Amino acid sequence: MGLDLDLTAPDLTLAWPQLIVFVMTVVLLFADAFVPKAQHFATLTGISLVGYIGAAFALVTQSGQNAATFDGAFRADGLTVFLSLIILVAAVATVVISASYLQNGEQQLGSDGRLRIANSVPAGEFYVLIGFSVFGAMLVAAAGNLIVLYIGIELSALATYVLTAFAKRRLTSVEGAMKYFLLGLFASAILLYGMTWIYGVTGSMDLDRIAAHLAGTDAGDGFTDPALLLGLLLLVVGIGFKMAAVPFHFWTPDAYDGAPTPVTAFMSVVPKAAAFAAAIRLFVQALEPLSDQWTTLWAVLALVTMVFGNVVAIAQRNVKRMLAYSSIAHTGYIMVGLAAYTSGGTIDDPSISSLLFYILAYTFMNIGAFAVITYLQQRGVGMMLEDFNGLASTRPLIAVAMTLFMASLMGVPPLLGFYAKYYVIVAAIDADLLWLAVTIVVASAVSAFFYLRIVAVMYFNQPDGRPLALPTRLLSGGIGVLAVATLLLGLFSSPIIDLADQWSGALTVLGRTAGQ
Amino acid sequence: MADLLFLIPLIPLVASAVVLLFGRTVLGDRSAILSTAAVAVSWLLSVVVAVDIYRSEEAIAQTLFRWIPSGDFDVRVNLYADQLTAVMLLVVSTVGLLVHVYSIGYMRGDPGLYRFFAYLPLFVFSMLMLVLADNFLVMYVFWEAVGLCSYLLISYYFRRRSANNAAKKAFIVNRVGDLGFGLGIMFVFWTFGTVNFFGETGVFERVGEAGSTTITVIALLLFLGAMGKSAQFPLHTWLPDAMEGPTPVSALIHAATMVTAGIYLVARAQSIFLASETAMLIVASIGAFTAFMAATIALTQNDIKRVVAYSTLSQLGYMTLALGTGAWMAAIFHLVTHAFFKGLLFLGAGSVIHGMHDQQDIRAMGGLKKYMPVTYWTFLAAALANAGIIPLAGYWSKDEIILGAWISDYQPIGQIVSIVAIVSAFLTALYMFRLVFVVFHGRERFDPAVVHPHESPRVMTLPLVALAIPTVLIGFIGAPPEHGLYHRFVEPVFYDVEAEEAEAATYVVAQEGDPAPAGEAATAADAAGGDHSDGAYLPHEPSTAQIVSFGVISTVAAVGGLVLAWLIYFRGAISPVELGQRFRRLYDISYHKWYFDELYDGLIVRPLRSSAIFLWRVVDIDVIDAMVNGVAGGLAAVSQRLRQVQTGLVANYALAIALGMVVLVGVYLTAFSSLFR
Amino acid sequence: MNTQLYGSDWVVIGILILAAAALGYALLTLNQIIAPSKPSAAKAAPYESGVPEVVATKPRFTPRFYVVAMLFVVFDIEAIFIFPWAVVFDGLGLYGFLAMLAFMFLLFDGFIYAWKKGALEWA
Repeated sequence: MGLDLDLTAPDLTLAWPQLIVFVMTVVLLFADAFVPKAQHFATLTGISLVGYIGAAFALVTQSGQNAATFDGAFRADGLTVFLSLIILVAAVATVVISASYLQNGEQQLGSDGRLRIANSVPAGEFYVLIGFSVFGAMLVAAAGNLIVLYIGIELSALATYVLTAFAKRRLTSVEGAMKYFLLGLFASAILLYGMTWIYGVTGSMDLDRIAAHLAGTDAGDGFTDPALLLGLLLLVVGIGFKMAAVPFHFWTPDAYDGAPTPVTAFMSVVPKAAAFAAAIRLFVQALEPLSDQWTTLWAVLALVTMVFGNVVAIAQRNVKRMLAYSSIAHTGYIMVGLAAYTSGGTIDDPSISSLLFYILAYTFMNIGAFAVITYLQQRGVGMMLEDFNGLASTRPLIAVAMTLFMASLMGVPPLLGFYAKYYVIVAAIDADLLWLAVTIVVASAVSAFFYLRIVAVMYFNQPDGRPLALPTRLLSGGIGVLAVATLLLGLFSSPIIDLADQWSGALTVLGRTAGQ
Repeated sequence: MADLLFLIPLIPLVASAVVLLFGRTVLGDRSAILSTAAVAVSWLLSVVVAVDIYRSEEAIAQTLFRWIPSGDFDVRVNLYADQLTAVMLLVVSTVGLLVHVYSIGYMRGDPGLYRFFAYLPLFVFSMLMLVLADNFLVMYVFWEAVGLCSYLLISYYFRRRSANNAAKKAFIVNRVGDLGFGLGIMFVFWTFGTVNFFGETGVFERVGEAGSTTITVIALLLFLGAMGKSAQFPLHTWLPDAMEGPTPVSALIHAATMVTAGIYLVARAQSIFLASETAMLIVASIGAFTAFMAATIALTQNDIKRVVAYSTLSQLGYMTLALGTGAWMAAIFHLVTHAFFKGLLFLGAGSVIHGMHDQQDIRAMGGLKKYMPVTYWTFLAAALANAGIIPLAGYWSKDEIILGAWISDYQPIGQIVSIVAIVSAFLTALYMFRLVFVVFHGRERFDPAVVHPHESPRVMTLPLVALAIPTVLIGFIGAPPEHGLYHRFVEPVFYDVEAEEAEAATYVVAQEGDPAPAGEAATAADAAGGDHSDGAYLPHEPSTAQIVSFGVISTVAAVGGLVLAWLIYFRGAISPVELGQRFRRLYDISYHKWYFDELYDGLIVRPLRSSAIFLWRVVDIDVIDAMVNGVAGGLAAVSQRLRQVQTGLVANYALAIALGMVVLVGVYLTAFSSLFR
Repeated sequence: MNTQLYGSDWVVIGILILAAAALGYALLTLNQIIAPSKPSAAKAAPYESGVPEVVATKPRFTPRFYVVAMLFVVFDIEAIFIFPWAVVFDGLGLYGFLAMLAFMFLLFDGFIYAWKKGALEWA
């Protein structure tokens, strides 16, 4: 059998942003090994920031493009740009807020009532792992092929597992990482299994070709090929785990609680964004012809997820666990965007753009909330509700920022979170999912209970004189920028949502033309 | 130039934000300089914009961003500046700047200085945005924003209970008006499907599409908002109490700018008002009544700031009655002149209070002329202007209002209103010069051992002088009457609409079959029809004889009041005490402000309070709270149960994932696949 | 519907599964029949590796074992990857050459990092 190889050089210019992040990570590796200790922290932070911001600029020059290379395995379309930008924003925010953690390590409250640094954190490995995780997530956003998608998800997740265990002397950190790792492998296996079924049925790894194949084989009796359906369900389970949907969410509270707080901020956003990117690529692009099946499925999961997340969050007194459940609840809200997709989506269909906007909003407010915890955190303490006692009188600006983040997560107008929910609700109503829209509103009302509790503790309780951690200027500045973004981006949301509309519209139109 | 429009409001906003954030810690007293500088830049830009508009005779528009894109309800934040806006910009930024400068001296040493200098530019920003808005919704937002600033600044001395109460009163009374304004906007959107002012699809171009009842309702609701903000009867009671705020605040917000927002609103929405004769009638009547009532109250008050406050009410009444009689340009003209002389009066009053160690009662003053000459002369100029003595600012605008009312289309109410205005002008001169004579002349009624009256520092007297110049001269932009620089400038804003008004009048005449509505109105309408094509049409063109005779009449009224005041309070020819005794009942009504506060207390406040207590004790606690607490308790209990699912064992978690998968696969394969078919 | 498309493939898979089961069963049975039966404690243990299988958890391996093992695996994979590449090298052209160069550079990069971090030192 003659080997028929056609290796034409791919158009690497399309992959500039991703390559920049990758090269940056390699440079970080070298820098970690060769830069002397004294300049270690500053150099690595600088390289990271320059790399991410450079990649973001490279992305912006790509906007409006709709191209693919590597034989369709790598796509540079609007969705890639939008999602990658969100991921890069999260990356920059993470670098900024982890500065104090990396410089000061986790701190311990000594018996003499003073803070001392317990153990330092290897900054180089931290940044390298963040870099790999970001690269993986960006790969998912750009994936046009099941294999690339899977590799991206795994790359992103593996780095996150290690990061979770970074506070290696704290038992909860290792425990959380272990659980996350084991369950993550389990879910990955399920995801991969689902992919093999899809491949088996359609005979292609390429997302557009899968869509084309499925569009051609509709039996028309309203019932789906069981093999295909099984593949789809397995994909839902695998992706559902990655995005922390109920009942696949169990790793979330333990991992979020155990991980160093900056890592929690990172993993509450980037792997989640990657999971939703994968969901859009897999379901909206590849399995679009089956949308009747998966929209109901996502709708039910969204309902369960947001109700469960919000209700259980009420019982938490540990703020990090509370935010973990809150992030589960927000997964539910975001999933509504997916559930509201209407078959054969038109450009006017607001579902996917509302989803994209929600992820963007979530990035700002959630990283902001974790940044405030980082600000307060000491080793082992600093995560309980009591640690927020009287923050308004000791650190008024931080208290204001936290109030903004909490209110935004709750969905108070005119903050960013309100607009995010608003667009999702509009999408749900457009898709005749009134019950889901009502659930969002009710769930948000329930969420006021635990979000406002933090605000109340900050403003109405007396400070109990415990020492504050050692925040850096970078961290304080980062909190400020995130707070201002939470305040302003909502007011100026319409250009962003227009952009999201345009880009997700291009995706679905492309999917349909490929399907014909 | 148009590109810079957004900077005018933006710069004070930035200054406000910076002072609010860093005022207490970093800036300290430098906050005052920063805010003042910001407003100064704003002022400079406003002047440039106004000159630009004057030269080009075209409105400037600038699109900022799309605010609410929601189906049919598409609201953009645009800035729009035509000649009317330009006038308002100049007034707001000029008075704003001078008040800022004055406050540097007045507020020196106050511990909350940074708060003051954060709120004040915030107000300037909101007010500028209010006049720059090109749709109802944005205008409403900043309408509320100026209300908020007013609230914050009235209660600036928040440790004083009366200040807090006054702030609350201002806020609540305004709420009544704002509710009307809000409903009005909803009605506008319901009727026209847009809230934009201008353009082909804008509300003002399409007034004719709505029925006359609808337009009347809209106009009255909008006017309700204007009544609240501009303190017109019966929503006037908050303004005198608002004098609890620092005096510069009274000058800027409660005399020169914010209270004129209502006037601006009606002038802006003139096409809506013109389409409803009923609305115009009500506007004119309320304005006239307010002008008269406030003037009578001002006669007997003893607090220097309150006298000036009631004078403000009365002058606002003038503007409103001018609006109601269709004398749009006269109303805005009076707004401009009033902003300067009333601002000056307040700043002068502040200077007096400052020099008298926070004494506000005029019975404890007297003979201050020799202690504070600058204050005296500037105050005198402002009083003359307010009284409408030729040739100071107030004369030109007030005369134009009286004349405009007399010859308006709306007869006979226009002539009645005109007569009320003349009587009020007499009263105005009387109370103004009562104030001047009692405060600055006569015996020194304070204890020289305790009080040492002194002239205020340069930073305070400088704005006084600066305001005195326009107080004396600004009237000349409106001279000669009806043909001044001001009229030529502002005319285009009201020009087209007046043509429409003439058409509407003809239309009404034709429809109702009324043979002779009123002589002048019919001729005005006819003249409109004839001259419209020439493009040089003015409906209320008064004859030279009318102009001269009304000039004489109002001068006589004003001088009469002045002379009477001179007789009573300077010469002592007539004893004020005796007068008060003789007209006991009238004196009491005036002194107790026509008993409005008592009336509202009995009719509204008390019943509301008792029903609120009922709702609170019975409905709220026993029914609603019980329900809410029950739900919350239930949720918390459920939450406690559910969290036990999180066992901490990996095996359990994996089992949950597996079970979830099995359920999903089971349900879906059974229900949706062809497997079992 | 689709069953027709791959129905025949299922039959093959089914036969394979059956054959696998049969083979396993046959081998075990054969073992039982042929082998002599002399049970002992050592034989009953789960692993007949010679290392005591039940000990206290105290003794620890130095992590360097794992590091070296992982490096070994990495270079194993490299070899596996290079082998088929070398076979079709002629057909790949310049692009194929450059791609492999990039791959090897990255591997080398990781190796240098491990080296610099002291992964190869036993001290």
